[in-house]
Amino acid sequence: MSRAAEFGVYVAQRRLHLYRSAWLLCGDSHRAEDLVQETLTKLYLAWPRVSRVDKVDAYVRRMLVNANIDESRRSWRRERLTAELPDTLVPAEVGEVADELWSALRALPAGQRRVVVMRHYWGLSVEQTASDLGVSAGTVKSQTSAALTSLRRTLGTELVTPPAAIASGNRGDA
Amino acid sequence: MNDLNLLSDRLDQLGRSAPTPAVEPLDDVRRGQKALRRRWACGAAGVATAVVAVGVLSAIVNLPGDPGDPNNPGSDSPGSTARPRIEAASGTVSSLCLQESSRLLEFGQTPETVRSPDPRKAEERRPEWEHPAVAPQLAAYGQVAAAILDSSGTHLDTRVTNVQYGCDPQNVRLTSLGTTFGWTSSGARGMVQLEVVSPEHSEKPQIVISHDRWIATKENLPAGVTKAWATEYHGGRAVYVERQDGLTVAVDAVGTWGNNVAPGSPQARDLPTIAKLLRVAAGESLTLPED
Repeated sequence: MSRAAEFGVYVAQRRLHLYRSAWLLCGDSHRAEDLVQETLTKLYLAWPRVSRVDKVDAYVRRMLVNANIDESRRSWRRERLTAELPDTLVPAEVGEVADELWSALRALPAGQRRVVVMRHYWGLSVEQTASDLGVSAGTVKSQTSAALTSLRRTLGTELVTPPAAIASGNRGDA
Repeated sequence: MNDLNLLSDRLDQLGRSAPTPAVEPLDDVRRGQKALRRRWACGAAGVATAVVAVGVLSAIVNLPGDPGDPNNPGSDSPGSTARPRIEAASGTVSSLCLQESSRLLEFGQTPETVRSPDPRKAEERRPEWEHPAVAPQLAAYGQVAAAILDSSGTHLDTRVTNVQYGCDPQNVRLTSLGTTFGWTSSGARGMVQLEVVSPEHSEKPQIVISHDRWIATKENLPAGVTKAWATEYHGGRAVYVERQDGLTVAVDAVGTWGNNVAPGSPQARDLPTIAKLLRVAAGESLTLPED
């Protein structure tokens, strides 16, 4: 099977999950799509190497996170000019999800939002998260603690109250 | 169920509610192919399609997930900071292939996220087209191209400024090698791209993948060529041949340098003919180096 065909199969299977992950990381649907496109382009270039190592999803996850880190540092690339600092809340887009967790997540600094997604959406351990981010386990723990404190303060009982319909199924396993 | 489990469930549900943009399924493939073609045209260093060689010769390469690797307890985490110990003799094809495989440990990292200082030796930081294993061969490619395509010496720039190569994971030898040369004509800069691929290579030459509407050429084939195909496309033309020595050689001549050319930019004209490109592809010096 050619590179294009193999890659196409992988994209068909995983793109939706990648986009959802990027959306949670970025807090913005347009930036999330940019992130996914950038990540998949890099993956295509490296496909002959990556596809032979049985951890394609882990590599893609790492590329997505690194692209998110780079993107957050390059605030000048933001398409919407704003006087706000890069890590502050972006006004909700028309038609976006009305969910208090979504608002609370987007209100977190980018680094804290990142560890929440990695730890509690992807289900990574402290050590895995630290390795992917290139930081110490202590930093991951402190960022997680700060993020959860903010979420609990913002959501109050919302965090512990199950939503009306919790969708069952596989948790993100990038 | 504690609140962290509920948080995970709610994040999962939140993710499922993400407003998903409409995407064309093949767009990601097209973007990747375009980026691949662009990589050929850039003078950037060190972009290769090497395949990881594990446990070959006396080299030891730590890959994420390798069982029994005491230095890599987080086996699910790619990009371990462990550095490989490359023991192949420097300057050989093996050292070039193993040098590339070590870059897998930095895969996905950007300059901002690489924390460790680059411990690579000086010879590993030089441009890969200057590596002793390939530099003479690439120079030979230029000489063949110049002799056939540009006897006047006015069009072809035979300086080597990039390389594309692939390695065999079992034997740590090159299965593909290629480069591009500048072609100047009518005050504009185009390029001639060469690619030599062995039967062991995992895919067709990139030049073949990048174009379609290949037409088989059966007449007046150069000596040593068993089959040949050619294509004319907007702004260029290309050939690829299967040779009696088993190699597949592709040559592409295009009137622009790179894929990000602004509309209306002048294009190099007087590109080499199909017949001349076929003669280049048949060139005996277009082979793959071996240790």
